Order: sequence, then structure tokens, then C-alpha cells
Amino acid sequence: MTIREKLIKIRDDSGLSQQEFAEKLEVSRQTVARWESGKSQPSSVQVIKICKEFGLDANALLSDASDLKELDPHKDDAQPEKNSNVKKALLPAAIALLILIALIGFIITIIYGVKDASFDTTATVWIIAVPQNTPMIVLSLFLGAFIILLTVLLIYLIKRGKK
Amino acid sequence: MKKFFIAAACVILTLFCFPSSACTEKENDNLGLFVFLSVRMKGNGDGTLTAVAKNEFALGSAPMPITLTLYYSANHDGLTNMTETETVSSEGLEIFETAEINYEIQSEGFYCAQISYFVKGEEKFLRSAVIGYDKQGNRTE
Repeated sequence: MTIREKLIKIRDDSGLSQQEFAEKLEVSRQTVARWESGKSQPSSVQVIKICKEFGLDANALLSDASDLKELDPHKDDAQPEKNSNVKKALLPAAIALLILIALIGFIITIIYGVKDASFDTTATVWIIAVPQNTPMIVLSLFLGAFIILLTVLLIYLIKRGKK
Repeated sequence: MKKFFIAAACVILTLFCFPSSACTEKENDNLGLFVFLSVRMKGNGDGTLTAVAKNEFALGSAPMPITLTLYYSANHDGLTNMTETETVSSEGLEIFETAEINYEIQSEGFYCAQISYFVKGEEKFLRSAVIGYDKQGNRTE
């Protein structure tokens, strides 16, 4: 695909007339007509301006590549931007999850507190299938995992802050 | 962050696998990962006493057989001197299921609720505090 064809394609894809295209690039309509007819080619300064205006890669515009998708102004940027958005959303999601877990624990504790208050005495036991049958082992493992989780989150936040 | 969440998920899964692997079917027929049992007691103020045993939460376990017993003593001198007033048994207490004793108070004194259950073939007990009630079922001590 020649640069002439690529320019026509860019203009068509943008839905601009030759006049509007020319105004955007601060050249005359005749100049655009000459580019599209192949009578002349944009100068290097004009190529940079076209690329800047339409978010294109200059190499893709000047190369002989026939695949017009290469000229898609959003092609290269879209994926990293999407990944970046996902990364940005992960931290609030993780924090929201931790808050939700804490909130559920808080509500359950209140429910149990209210329930226990209606009785004169309450005794409870966790029967856990570990060799020593002690809830403390499992509790300490869970707390350990929670501490690791928070530490990793803190390290991540510090690293992010440095960036 | 992705690696972090995968690592966190692995840790949590390991925590669940550890206790479950420690318990074989041969060691205990009923106990799964864990069971949370409770025993409660209250005077109703109408001459009755209620003792409740509940399977509060269970994970991976079969119904938990328990026996709920209500003990009475005229004096507060320990569980050994208390006499059994009423007993109710459950062949298998399902999750959130309760076993209950509603006892009509015969005389003022001290009461205690106890549940017995088996863990790895060994009988274990969970007892409430010893509480004093008058004949109307009001707490005295």
C-alpha cells in the first residue's frame, strides 16, 4: 500500500473531507488533493504532524506494509492501557475484599454477641481435625497468612509509591 | 499483583489441606475439617430452664452425635456433686441444628448444661458455667 493510499484511508477512517483534513494539518486542500493523487508526498515535518494528529506510527505510515491495520491509531496503545487499567483496579478490589471480609466477621460477631446476651451462660468449642486438636494452630496459620497478605500489600504500595 | 493473589490463594488452600490430610477416616468417622459446637443455658422466668446444644458451623463433617445433659445441685460445690436431671441425645447434629432441653424447675439450686461428643473415639465434654436459679427460673447467682 502506497503512502497515497494510506493517506486516503486515514482520512476516510476519520470521516473527514479533504478540506477538514487539510485544516487539521494546516495545509491547503490542494496539497491534500496532490498527496492523494500521488502528484506529491508530504514532507517529513508533515508526516510527523499527520502521525501526531492521528496517533500513528511514522514507520507504519512510510513503510510499504499493505496491512492497513498497522495504521490503526489505537492498536498498539489499547492493550497496554487495558492491562494498566486492570492493574489499577486490582488494588482497590483487594482492599475492598479485605474490608468485606472484616465487615462480615464484624456482623457475625455482633450477631453472636446479641444471641449470647439472651442466654445466661455460653460455652463453645472448635473441634478441629489436627493432631493436637487445638484451634490455636489453625488460628495462628490463618493469622500468619493474613500478616503475609498485608505485608505483600504494603511492599507493593511502597514500590508503587517509589515509582 | 496477580502473582501475589495466586500465592495468597495457595497459602489459604494449604491451610485447608493441612488439617484435612491430618485426619483419616480411620481416626474419626464423624469429624471433617472442623466443627463448631456450643452449649447455652438460660432461665426463662416462667419456672423453666432451657439448655441448647448447637452445631454452629461445620466444614466437611458428617452430622455430629452429641448428648446434652442438664445437671442440678442444691449447693455450688462443683460438677462432681451434681445430679443428672434430664438428658437428650442426637444421633447426628447437622450444621445449624440444635438439641434442646426444656426443664421445669423442681427446686431452687445450681444448674449446668453439658454436651458430650466423640473425637477420635475419645469422649469429650463441653460444659456451661454453673448458674444458680430460683424456682421461677430467674438467675440468682
